[in-house]
Amino acid sequence: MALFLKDKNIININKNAKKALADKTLQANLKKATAEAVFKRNQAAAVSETFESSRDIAIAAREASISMLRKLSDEFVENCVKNNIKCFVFDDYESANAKITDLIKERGADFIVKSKSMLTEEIELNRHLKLNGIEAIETDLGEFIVSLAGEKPSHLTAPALHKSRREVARLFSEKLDMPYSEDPAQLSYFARRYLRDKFMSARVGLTGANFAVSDSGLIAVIENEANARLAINLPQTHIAVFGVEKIIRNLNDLPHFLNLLSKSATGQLLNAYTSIIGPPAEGKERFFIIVTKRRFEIAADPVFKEALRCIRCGACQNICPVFQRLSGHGYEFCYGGPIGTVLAPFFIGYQKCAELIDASTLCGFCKSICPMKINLPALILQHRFHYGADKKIKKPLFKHLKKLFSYLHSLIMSNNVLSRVIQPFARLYFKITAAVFGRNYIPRWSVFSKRDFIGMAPKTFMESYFTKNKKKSREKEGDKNGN
Amino acid sequence: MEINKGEKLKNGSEKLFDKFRERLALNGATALICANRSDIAAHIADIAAREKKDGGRPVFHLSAHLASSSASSIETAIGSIEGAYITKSILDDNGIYIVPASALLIEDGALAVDSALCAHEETLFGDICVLIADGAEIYNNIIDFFAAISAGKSSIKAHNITIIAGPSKTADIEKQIVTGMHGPKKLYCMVINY
Repeated sequence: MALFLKDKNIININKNAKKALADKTLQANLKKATAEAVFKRNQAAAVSETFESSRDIAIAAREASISMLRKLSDEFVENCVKNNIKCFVFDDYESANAKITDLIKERGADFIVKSKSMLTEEIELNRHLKLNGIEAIETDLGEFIVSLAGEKPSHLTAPALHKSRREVARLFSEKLDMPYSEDPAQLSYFARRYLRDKFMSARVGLTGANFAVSDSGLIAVIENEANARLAINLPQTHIAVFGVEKIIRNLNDLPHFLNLLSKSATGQLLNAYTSIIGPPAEGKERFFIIVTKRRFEIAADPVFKEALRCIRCGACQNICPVFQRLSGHGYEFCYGGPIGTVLAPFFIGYQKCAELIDASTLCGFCKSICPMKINLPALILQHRFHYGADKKIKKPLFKHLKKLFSYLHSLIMSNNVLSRVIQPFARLYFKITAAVFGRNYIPRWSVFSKRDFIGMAPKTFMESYFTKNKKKSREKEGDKNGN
Repeated sequence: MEINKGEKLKNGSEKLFDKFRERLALNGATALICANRSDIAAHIADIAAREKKDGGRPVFHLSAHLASSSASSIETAIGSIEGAYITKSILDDNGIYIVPASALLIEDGALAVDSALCAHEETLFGDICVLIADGAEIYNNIIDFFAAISAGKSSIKAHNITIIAGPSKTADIEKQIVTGMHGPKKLYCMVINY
């Protein structure tokens, strides 16, 4: 069994969960950060006069844009050309990475200043640039911290959510020779000074885009730190990289998305900076790199197209009881949490997601908090159905054993004669294991089911019912005789 | 309730300003109303005094596109502050940048800056950013603002919009908010209403 769980072709959720749960610092960081994020989100949503109405309008707008994504994509590219923006559309990661690398090299740059972009994590841009001798300097503080630590971001909007101030202090002291301090302000200002020099000398700035507006060829970039504004406006060349699903129809739709994103992501009425980016300033140049990988396919899927509504706010991660303990790293995929569980099978295949799609309690918290009302538990369940039903998918041994056990269990429990015959033996077995091990022990049960067996009641419901009634009727008879 | 571009915040519209002040405060910034020229001088002097406390002479950068009515009052106010001086060059991390805001978004506690009237660096550099809303367009919220832009009813072009709601900030270390991560540490909005 261990052989199968260690299989590199599977995301090791069970192993990662054990590791994460054993890390007390991580658990404390996650608990504090996620609880605060949910609290702030609820506060901001309660203050806003337009949050709920924007939810409905944004959902309708997104549904409409998903249904005509190819058309909007073409229209967006046409309008970008009118805006003097060079636009490239790629269906695969390799071509997108190669184009970005070429653009940077052609400008003679050996480093770029980069703001947070989940798509660049998806396409693994930084690794590709490094292989080509280009350093990608992350300028968002959270990303800067995780890149210094040689890690990946652990959350959609708070990349260093898993790190404590002590860990950051140690990191800055060791890697940047900063005098040791655990004060977040001092750590932040040190990073500001360090990164400002990079901004001033960078030839190329690279950002993501939160939304792209089809009818005007513009993008919207939302942030709090101002690093994206610096990366967009200071260097000679700006490159924005984003997925095609970010394209919406028009400017009238845009504010509803902005309204939802700021409140759901960081619990703010609006983010500190919302920049609408269009034609480059005189003497400067701008490129948009659009990645379509699997997106058109998902958009055409009658069930899973709902997942493309996602605005990457991270609210589902903050509220998810699994994410709150596992952290983003435990998912081993750039998008963690419930939305990551829904997206992962499309991008890395069902084979690798055998454990991942089980890593949800289906409690429904994510559905309730999602600003776009994505029915994430239903989509995860759909993945489980698909995974189980698709015979082409090679499944690990534990899945087969689990299936066999479930089949035998349902066979026994649905047959009155069989269950009556088996029950006394099963009770006797659990009586013995309780005496020997102190619990309802079934060897390897926890490996299959991820929890201990609940055991069996000493009597069936019917046995208890009749015993009780017999007792009652005897008492009544006794009363009558006594009277 | 909506009020039009440049309309004075009187006759019932003060409630709007109160809401704007409250919402801007939630975003970590301060809104100040200037009912006359002496109000401008008093607020500028107050900001300069706080800046001076941190050491050094207060340095001001005035955007070239400030409305002439408020620019002259601000220049006079700065002139009366001991040690203060105005520079035209865009400095790096120091100084107080005074730039025009083109629209107020009341419910969001935010301001829209028109990049055609203000260089991006002017709202990115410096310790303190003071946005002057002199004759600014006023909208209930960001939804009304974009509707006006789409309908061509606003003077601001979509691709020139930067919406600012509070100072530059981060909460990436243990969710503790630190202002001035890459941009200004403080943000003031002065609404000129005379």
